[in-house]
Amino acid sequence: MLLIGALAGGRWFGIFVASHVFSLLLWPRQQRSRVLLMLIVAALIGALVTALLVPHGMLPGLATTGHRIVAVISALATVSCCFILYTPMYYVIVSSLTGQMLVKLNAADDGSLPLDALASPVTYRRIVEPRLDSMVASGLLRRQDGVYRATPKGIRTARTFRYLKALWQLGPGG
Amino acid sequence: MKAIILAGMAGVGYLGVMTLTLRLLPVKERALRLLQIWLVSVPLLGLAYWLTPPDLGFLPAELQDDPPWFGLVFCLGLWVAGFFGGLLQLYNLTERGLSLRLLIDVTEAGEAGLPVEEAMTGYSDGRGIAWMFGKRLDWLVAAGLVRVDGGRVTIAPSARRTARRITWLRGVLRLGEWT
Repeated sequence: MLLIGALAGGRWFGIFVASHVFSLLLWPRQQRSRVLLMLIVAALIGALVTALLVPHGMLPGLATTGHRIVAVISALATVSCCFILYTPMYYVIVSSLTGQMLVKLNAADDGSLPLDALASPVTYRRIVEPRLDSMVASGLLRRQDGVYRATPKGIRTARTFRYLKALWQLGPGG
Repeated sequence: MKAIILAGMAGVGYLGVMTLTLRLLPVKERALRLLQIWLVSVPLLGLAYWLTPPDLGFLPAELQDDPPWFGLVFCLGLWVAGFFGGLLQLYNLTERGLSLRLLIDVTEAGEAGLPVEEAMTGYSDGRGIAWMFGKRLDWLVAAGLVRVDGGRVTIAPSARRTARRITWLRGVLRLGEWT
């Protein structure tokens, strides 16, 4: 049942990727994080239902001995693990600052730009403001009269990561 | 279930080793050191799976990995995902996440909050957003992806393919402006 659950999870993750790519063509940028979350929850539910219903003798030549709960856990674990590998790759393409610098340089004549063109107050603002607005959209910050303040959710998130920074002695970072 | 239990134990054990390493050793290239520790853990986990009984001394027959050969594959697969998608990402986010650092800065400003200009100048305990940019650029130079010469930044030939792939993917996915 471990293998059967993993196969079910793998199939549902494939469906998730296809639907996520499709959703990028349909939904506006501001809603994409929410859509991503909805799609992965749907994939997890699909994997759960499949694991609950798939017959024991699904794979020819393979006699399954396990309890169905093993298939359920295996399916959910497979979807979750694939998702946590997929998400960083997606966000590198969407919002990585380092990736953005490389793309900008590659697009320039002879692959070269003055340092001021790559790093200037205008560039900084174009990076920082959308990030702050993205956090407003996800409920971590609120914006009023051009001033950003943390919401209770944002405060809890910040507190958690400040604790990790202290635990791992990482310094302010960023 | 043995696969999941052993992979989970590997994760907890690694987290302990990772925390001790970061706290006790003066590590310069932290991410590289974390990867090296993980590479050592992989054969250890495989050995642990091979040497331990299928029931781990307490699992009933219907909860054991089946087929048995897939248990080891699944266990190592979980550990790969758990490290690259979980622990390493958590470390990277905590150490250098741009949005996270902005969130912490805004939180520390309290009810007064921060307008964009102050968020940029006060970024990361007052270091400023230009410092962050310089850090990213230094990393690109150290990785051999760009070079800086006479006030100009030039992409290395080896980095062009990566840049083209990202550009193509962004076009296919209609991602528009960077965020």
